[in-house]
Amino acid sequence: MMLPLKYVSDKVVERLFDGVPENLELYISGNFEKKAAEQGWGLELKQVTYDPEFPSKLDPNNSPETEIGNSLLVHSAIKGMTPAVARQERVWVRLCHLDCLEYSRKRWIRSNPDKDVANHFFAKTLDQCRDDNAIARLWWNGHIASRIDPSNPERVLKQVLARANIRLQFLDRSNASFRLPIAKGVVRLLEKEQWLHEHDRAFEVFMLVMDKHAGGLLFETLSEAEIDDMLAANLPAAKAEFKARYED
Amino acid sequence: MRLSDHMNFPHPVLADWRDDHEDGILAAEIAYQEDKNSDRISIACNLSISNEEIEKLLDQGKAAIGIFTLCVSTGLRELIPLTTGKSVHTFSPGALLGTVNLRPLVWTVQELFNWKPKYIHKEFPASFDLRKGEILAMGEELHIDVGNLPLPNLETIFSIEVMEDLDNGKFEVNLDKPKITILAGRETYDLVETLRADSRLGPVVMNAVYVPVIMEVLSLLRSEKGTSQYEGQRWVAPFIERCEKLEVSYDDDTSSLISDACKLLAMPFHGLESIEGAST
Repeated sequence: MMLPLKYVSDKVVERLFDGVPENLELYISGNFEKKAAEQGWGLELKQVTYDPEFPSKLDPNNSPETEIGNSLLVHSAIKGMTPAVARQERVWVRLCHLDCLEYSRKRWIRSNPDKDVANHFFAKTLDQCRDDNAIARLWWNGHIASRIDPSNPERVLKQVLARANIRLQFLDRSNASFRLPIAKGVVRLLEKEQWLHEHDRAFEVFMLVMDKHAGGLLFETLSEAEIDDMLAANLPAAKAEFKARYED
Repeated sequence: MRLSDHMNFPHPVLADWRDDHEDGILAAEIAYQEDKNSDRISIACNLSISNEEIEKLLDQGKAAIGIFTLCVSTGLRELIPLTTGKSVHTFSPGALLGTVNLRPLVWTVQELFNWKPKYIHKEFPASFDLRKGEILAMGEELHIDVGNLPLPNLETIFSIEVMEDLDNGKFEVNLDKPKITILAGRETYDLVETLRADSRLGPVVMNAVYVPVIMEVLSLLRSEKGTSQYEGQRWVAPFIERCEKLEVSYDDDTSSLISDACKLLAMPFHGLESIEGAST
């Protein structure tokens, strides 16, 4: 049964953020149920629902496979979420502090709890929302993958999440990852070109070369075959650039 | 792959700020409407181009005209083909939030061989072979603000702390923390807290403390290192958002610091008028 997704008020977010040092025990081993009884914790989103079972299925292991599984789970468990709503920190703060507290702390609280909580339980900016927040990052993974291949987002995630640096480079370059024709082409290339996976910086260098040589081209007008040719044509230059930077 | 005014092209591109073509312009008027019930945004565009060469390509179906849309907040980047004259486009529900940049463009939809535009800068060759997807004209980037989000509450991004060895009456500002941290000696801190606690005297604090602090923040953001030096700090995004909504520049060092600080704080001097005995 789906339930309306709730969020907290701005004041609750600020109080929680300011209170991280004194609430550290709650983050590490306690819970926020008592605080959640206060005003400002139970605001409901009109058109967004979620499966309340999903948090218990999240796997806190840190591997590409669990990241893929968690991303698909979160994205499919929340219905009616849009990018505009997904940019609301208040939504993710509530999920991280209540439903997904167990997962969030096991996955992200390590040697520097203050900083780990600040980074992964909150989501002020686009980068923090997309890359750092424990649950939001999973939703954005699923969202981007579903836009690139609605029928098989797992296929996209297998490429984009194969290495941390590929995800970083891909998502950080919004002018590529959010432009569907380019993003689709890049995923197809990742599936074919082993070199891009062999070295941590290979994909980064490839994206830099692409930006340099094809930055002004409107890929939206090209066919898939034309995009594939364009991307492949830049591989030799990328390999040469990589060699010059890191091997010579 | 970001479109900007300063892009380099090996062929002439029509734009008001470039001298590739001797004359002509790609102009756009854009209005938008928000449907709060469906969460959809529609834009109504009126596009016009006044360059014979490019108009001919559009008429021949060798080029297309439209808008490139970029929404930083949601990540949306979409090329929307339109027509010259009036047209309307509706975005998917929830696709946009905050500032949306709209760039009018004309681009090739097929390869062009031996294109010989007249009246172009003399440093260009006489003819060009262009790929499909090459930009032929750019209009001025327009901005709309969607979502009607309330202005972020500025006070929530400040904190005041004691710095024991600071002289009375002096303040320092630390921006390398999640909040803009105002540091004051013990006595000064106690005085400020007393004034803040009294709702009648809030305007005094606003003018005596927050105005100069915001001036300092703007001054640092306008320095060479800009906002990047504070990347990741939680106060930056709401501060920048407030600047953008109130049309205060955070990167123009010629703009008046005091005027801009007062603008960001909604003209705090007026608050002093409410203090009993202040008005004459």
